[in-house]
Amino acid sequence: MHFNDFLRSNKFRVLLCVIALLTGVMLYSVRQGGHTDVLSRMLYTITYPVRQFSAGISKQVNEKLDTYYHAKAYREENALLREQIALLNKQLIGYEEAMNELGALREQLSLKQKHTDFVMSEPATVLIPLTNDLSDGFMINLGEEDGILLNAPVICAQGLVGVITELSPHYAVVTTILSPELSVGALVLQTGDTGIVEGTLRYAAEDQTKMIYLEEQHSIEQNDLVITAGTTGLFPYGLPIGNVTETAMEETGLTAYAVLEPTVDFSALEAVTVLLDFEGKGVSLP
Amino acid sequence: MKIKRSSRTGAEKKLRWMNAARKTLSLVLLLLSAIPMLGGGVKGLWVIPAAVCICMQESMYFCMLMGVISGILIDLACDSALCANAIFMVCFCTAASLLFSQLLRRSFLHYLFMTAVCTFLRAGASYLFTAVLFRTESRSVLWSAILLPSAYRTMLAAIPVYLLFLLLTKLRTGRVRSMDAAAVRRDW
Repeated sequence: MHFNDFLRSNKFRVLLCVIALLTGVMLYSVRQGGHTDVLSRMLYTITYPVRQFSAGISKQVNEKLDTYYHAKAYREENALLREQIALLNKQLIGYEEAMNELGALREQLSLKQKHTDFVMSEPATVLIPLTNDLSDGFMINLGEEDGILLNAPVICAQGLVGVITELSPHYAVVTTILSPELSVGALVLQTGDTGIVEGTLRYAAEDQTKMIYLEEQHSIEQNDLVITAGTTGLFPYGLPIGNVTETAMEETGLTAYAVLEPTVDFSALEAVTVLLDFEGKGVSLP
Repeated sequence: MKIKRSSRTGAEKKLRWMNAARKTLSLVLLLLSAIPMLGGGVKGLWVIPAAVCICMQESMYFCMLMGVISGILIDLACDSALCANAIFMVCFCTAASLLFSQLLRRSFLHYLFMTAVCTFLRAGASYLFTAVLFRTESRSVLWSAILLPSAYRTMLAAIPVYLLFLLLTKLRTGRVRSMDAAAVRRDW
């Protein structure tokens, strides 16, 4: 059959009709913004499950092929990422240390501004809490070689923490104001009532301490602030100890006592400062 | 010239049955070949080699029908205006059918040649219409990142599609093949 014969055949006429029909549908489709409403929607609806199935298979095949073809690149990338993670972790540790140190230094600065007579050690990091100690005693990373002295007061920005009770060349143990082993001369800032802050195991278990030897006729109220009296020469005057939560009479009926909520949160303590010298140290007032 | 149903010989009945089965299977294979390209992403247009395979064996009317179907499938897959590719495919399938019956042999090389012609013509037309006429930005990216990789993948897909359609030729016995060829000539 020659080309001219084809042009004269029915097949060519049918082809022209088909093309005309398809062109009409296409023009209608284009005029409708790309898709005919009925026909396209029908076709899309019919082929939707096939598309989903195909997309699922395609995704899986692509993943497998990708894994196969880029295995070497992924291995190298993985190694590189591990190195980067290790480096970032190191930096993070350094960052955390720097931030902690910065916080401690800020606290120390605030203390220094408040008490110009204080001679303080460098900020000491709280290393480990003492085992089986209800009064939250802990070890710090400074010792005798750092100039730390036995019975030196340990403070932080919130107030009095405790005293150094054990000393080694590089470490020291701090006994807190929650401990029954420690007695601190104190006064109530608002009323001027004086007494001794001395912990008990019962209150230490609840992170509280006790102010004893208060006069029967005291005027202490809840939330009054208790500070160091500075009369014994062991602690300077004016370090916050705690706030009064309740008061009561002793069983003997001779003196009263107050339960204190320490100003220092011992569970969140990360750095402290040892007070090496202050005005009135060793001077006991009558 | 039509043969009355009652006067058909057994061989003719077998031939008609074989033709019907082959055409049905061709249609099924064409629809199945659409599955890989409907999944999104840059894909080969598997229906193009399938349509060329059909054009190698079937009558012109059937080729036109397959051209329309494959074109609509491409339109659906590529999200182009409905029947835009169908017009191209119906023209190409008619031309391919004509060429395979008159000029080309039903060989793998000629099949590959026709597939490549169709694939790259379609890619070129697509580039011309979408990029040049509508002045799409980053036209070179459209060509290098979508149309060309798709065309390469279509050419790769031509091999498995050919093997699948090769199975269809099993439906033709030697005698049937010659009779079918005669039927094709009669069609013309």
